[in-house]
This record gives sequence, structure tokens and C-alpha cells, in this order.
Amino acid sequence: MKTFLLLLCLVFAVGAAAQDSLLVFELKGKAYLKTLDNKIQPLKVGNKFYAYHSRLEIDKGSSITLVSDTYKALTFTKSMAMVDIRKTFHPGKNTDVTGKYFAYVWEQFTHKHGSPEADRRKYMSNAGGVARGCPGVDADHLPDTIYYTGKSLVFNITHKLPAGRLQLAFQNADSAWRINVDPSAVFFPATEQLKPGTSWKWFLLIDRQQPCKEGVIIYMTRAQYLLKEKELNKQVIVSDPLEASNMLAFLLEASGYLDAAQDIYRNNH
Amino acid sequence: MKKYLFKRDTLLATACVFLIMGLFSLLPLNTHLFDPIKMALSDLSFNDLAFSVIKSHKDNGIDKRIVVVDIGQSSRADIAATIDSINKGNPSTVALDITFAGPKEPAADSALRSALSNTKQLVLAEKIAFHGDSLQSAPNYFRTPNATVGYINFIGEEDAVIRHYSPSETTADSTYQSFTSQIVRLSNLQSFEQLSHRPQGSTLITYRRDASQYLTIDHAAMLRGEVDLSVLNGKIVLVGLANTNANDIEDKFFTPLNKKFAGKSTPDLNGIYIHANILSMVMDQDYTKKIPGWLMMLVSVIVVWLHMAFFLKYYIEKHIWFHLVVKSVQLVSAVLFIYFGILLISKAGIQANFTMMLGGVVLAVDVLYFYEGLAQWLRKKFHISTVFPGDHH
Repeated sequence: MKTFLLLLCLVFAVGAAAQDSLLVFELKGKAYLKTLDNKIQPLKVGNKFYAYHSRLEIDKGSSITLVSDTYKALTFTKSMAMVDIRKTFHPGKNTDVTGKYFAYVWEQFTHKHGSPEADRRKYMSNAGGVARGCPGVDADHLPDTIYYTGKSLVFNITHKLPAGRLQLAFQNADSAWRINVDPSAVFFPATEQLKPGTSWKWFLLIDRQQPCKEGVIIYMTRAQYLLKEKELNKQVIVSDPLEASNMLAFLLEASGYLDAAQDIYRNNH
Repeated sequence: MKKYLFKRDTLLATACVFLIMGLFSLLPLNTHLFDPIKMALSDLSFNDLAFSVIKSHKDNGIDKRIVVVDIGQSSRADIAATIDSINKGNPSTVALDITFAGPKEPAADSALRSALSNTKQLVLAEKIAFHGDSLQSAPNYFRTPNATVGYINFIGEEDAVIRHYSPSETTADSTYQSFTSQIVRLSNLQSFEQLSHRPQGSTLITYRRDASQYLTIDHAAMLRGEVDLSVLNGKIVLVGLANTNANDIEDKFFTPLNKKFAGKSTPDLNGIYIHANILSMVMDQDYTKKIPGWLMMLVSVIVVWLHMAFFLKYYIEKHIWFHLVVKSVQLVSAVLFIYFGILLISKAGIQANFTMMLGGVVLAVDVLYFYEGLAQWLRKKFHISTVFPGDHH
């Protein structure tokens, strides 16, 4: 009888633990499970794990979406202890009715409605116009070019949006990938996919809506780049050196070699 | 009623009504936290009935001086092409009710900058914010040193009805003009000068037209060549988002034109049409006049005094009918006050605030009971005579 009860308890314990398993539903980039003895287990879509005492490690720019047995799905972009991750899945069910009720009463009781017309500057936050672009995002140092030969592609973006709201997306005929841009971070996307010969459209998106900034990057080698410049130079038939230089810059600009054109304009100015 | 009109008790009870209302207004606490009617009607003006229910604005027809071009969700390249098309129509002024936060796609940005530089009289939009006394603006990416720029802010709480705007704002350094003021300055200098001579600050917006009363052109139709561009000749062209889809609330605001007069509803008018209403108002010199506070106070005192004399008659002589008569009178008075308000706003463009008058009439009954107790006590204690006979009701 004792053995039977012990086995029954064990079955219940395993069952209870199984209730708390998490499924890797979506993975962008790379994420790992780091155990107490520092063993690292890479995670893949479809993995199901319990790992109470482990730590979830997420590479910079990556994100992982986990689904619990209750079908609650949460996306994580930063490394966290599994204990904390579980807390976010089960954030205590006891709603503090009394506390919340009296906090509401006090808030309403002490909230005096103002008069917008009497204090207009305080109430001039409504703007009657449609906003286009990425408000709140400072992205002055985006690669201002179409043809690109640099070794690493640098997107220097600073913003004050909450984590996860701003994303940088790359897309071409073969693949597409999207990375969360951390607040106030200088961002260097992984360049292994941006190889010479590939061309990409890139977008900045807020809340996964319509792109608010976009551009095209066509990767080429330095030799290819110079060859194209030489080809264009042949079309310049003006004898005056400054005019010839400006003409080349114009042809470069018209062909999408914006950085090179800017350089020439700057030097000629 | 005449019998009680000039009695000391009538006058003192009336004074008590306003004294109590004054004390309530000084109370730093919001005592209406569980008043569902107050909660539902907190942002309500009965004058809105003139538009939302009676639709008096529908008599005004289309304003032929203003054309709205809807850009929908188009790209900057499309906006550039749309502006090029608009310029072919030879408009008097082109105003973009769009804020551009920064660069997007180099080729399209370049095309848009070129289209804007080819526009003769152009007004760009910016949003401003105040930090103490200093004004900060979110610069429009396509702003150039010689571009005309105006701010597009309205005055109003978040998710509240937009009733006011500020034509210009002055700081220690300079004066900033609103988007519509800049448009009027370029297209109708006489109206601008008249506007400049008016008191600045919060200005009531006279809503005379809804979205259907401004000629609205879809930019896509314009780019397909389906629009006769001669309709733009000499007109003010407002370019921005102007969708009629009730489920799309981007850049939409609550206005007095909302079909739903009170309670929960959805925003009804795009910001561009609010600007259009402001433009119509300024060019027509159709400013809504507001009855001064002191005058409304004086009228309210007289009206409440008359009501008090009437209530006293029933309170003392026919108390059995008192509550029935009082409720009926309060209802009829409320209907009439609102009617006068609607008449004033729709026929004479005068806005009157009947809140104090209505509040006084409602409060008069409770004050009467309190005042009777006080008068009886004063009679017993100091032998001060009163019209109230015998015991307290």
C-alpha cells in the first residue's frame, strides 16, 4: 500500500511538473538554456522544457516566444532566470480588490477636472495632423546609400520607445529577418547574411506597423564598386575638371551611389 | 408668486443657493466620482445639440474656397506626385497637414523635397509642446529656412471634445502662428490682420461644416488623372488624412458635430476638417462670441430668484403639490434653457453657458429646506420674522 501511495505521489508530481512545461513557439536569432552546472543547451522551435533552475540566455537582437500549457504566449528579448520567467507566466492570481478599489476612489476623489480654455498651454497636446516617419526615433546615422561596400553595416539608432516596439527588418527575395532595436543602443546587425552580391530592403517599424523608414542596400565588393564608378566616369565629357567632377557625382547619385556622390559634392563645394 | 418676489426670505434663499454653489466650486475634491450622469456628461455642452441633433450646420453648404486632398496611407513618393499634380491646378495655397519625423527613403524624400520646393505658397505642419514657459517644436523634416510652418495643436483634454484652438502663441523670444493662421496669412491677408487684432489665447472654434461639406479629393484618383484639376484653381488646398471610415480613428477627434451627443462614442472628425472649419471661421469672420461670465451670473441670479419666489409659494401655501410642481418646473426650465442656448449658437453665433442657471434651479429645492430650518431657528433665537409659518417641514 505504501509503495502504491508513493508511486501515486510520484505520478502526481510528474504530472504537476508537466503542467508547467514551456514550448518554444517562435525563435528569432539564438537562445540557450544555461543550467546550474554551466551546460548550455541551444533552443530550437518546438523544444519543450521545464528547467526550473536554469537561465534563459538570449543573444542581443534575438527574441524567443514561449507558450505555456495554458496557451499563454510571451515574448522575451533579454536573458532571464527561468524562475523569473515562470513568475511572468503566473503573476499571482489574487487581485487586491480592496486596495485597487480604494486607490481608484482616492484617485477620482482628488482628481480635479481642469479647464482647457483657462490653461490652454497645458492642454495643447492634441495635434490635428497625421504623423509620418518615426516619431521619437533618432536615426540620423542610417546608411545613406544604396550600393554598399563596407565591411560591417552600421545602423546607429537611438530612441526612447519601450523595449520591443521598434524593429529593424531586412528583406529580399530569399529571406526576411527582423530584430528588436534596444532603447538608446547603437545597433550593429549581424553581417553574415549581408554578403556581397545580395541586395536587401530594410525597414524601421514601430509596433510592427507600416514601415516608418526604409531603404535599399545592394552589397558589392569594392572592385565592383570602382568598376561601376569608372563606367559612369566614361559618360562624363565635360572638359572643366570641377564640372566634370560634379557631373560624375550627378551620375553616381542618379544611379544610387549616394555616398560616393555626397563625397564628391562635399569636396567640390 | 408676486407676493413672495420681494420678500427678504426669497432674496436670502437665492443668495444661499449661490453661496452653496460657490462653496462647492471651491471644494478641492471631486465629489462626483460615483455620479453616473456627471461621469457620462462630463465633457458635454448642451450647445452641441445644435449640431449633433438639430444639424443646423447642414444649411451652410460646401465651402468652395477650400479643397481637401486625402493622402490615405500613401508613400512619400505618392505624396510628392500628388503635390506635383496639385501644383498643376494652380491653387492659392497648399498646406500639408502632415508631420514628417525624419528621412525615410532617399529617392522618395528627394522627390518630395523637390515637389515642395516647387510649390508657390506652402504651409507645413509641426507639433509644439510647452515646458513651462518655453515652447518646443518637433521639426518637420522638410522644413527649410524660408518655409512657412504652423503648429497643428488644438486645445483640449486627451479624448475630449475639441472646442478651442490658439491662433498664435507668444514666448519671450518670438511669436508662433498656428497652421491655419499661416494659411490665412498667405491666402487672405485681410482676414489674417483681423484675426491678429482679436484677443489671442483660447478661441472657440465655430463648427459650421462636417466632412461632407468640404470638397474632398482622393489622391489616387488625382494621380490616375480622374480629377479635373481646374477645381483647385485659386483654392486653399489642405493635404492630409481625410478618411470617412468610421472604424478608422487615426487623426480623428471628438467634435460638437459628433452624431452621439453624450456618452460613449467614437471620434468623428479628422484633424484636417477641424482646420478647415477654423479656416472658414476666420475667413468669414464668423467667430463664436461668448457671453461674459458676469452677465451670465447676473442673468442666473435673476432667473433663480424668480424660480425661488415661485417655489416658495408652493412650499408655503400648497406643500402637498410642492414636489410635483417643482420637478415639472425644473424640467420645463431645463428644456427652455437648452433651447435658448441652441437658438443663440445657431442663429447668432453666441455661446452661453447655462450650467450655473440650471444648477441654481436644481439646487433651489434643497436649499429651501435648509433655509427654512435656519429661518425658524433665527425666529426662535433672535425673533427675526420670516414668511415660513409654524414648524419646519
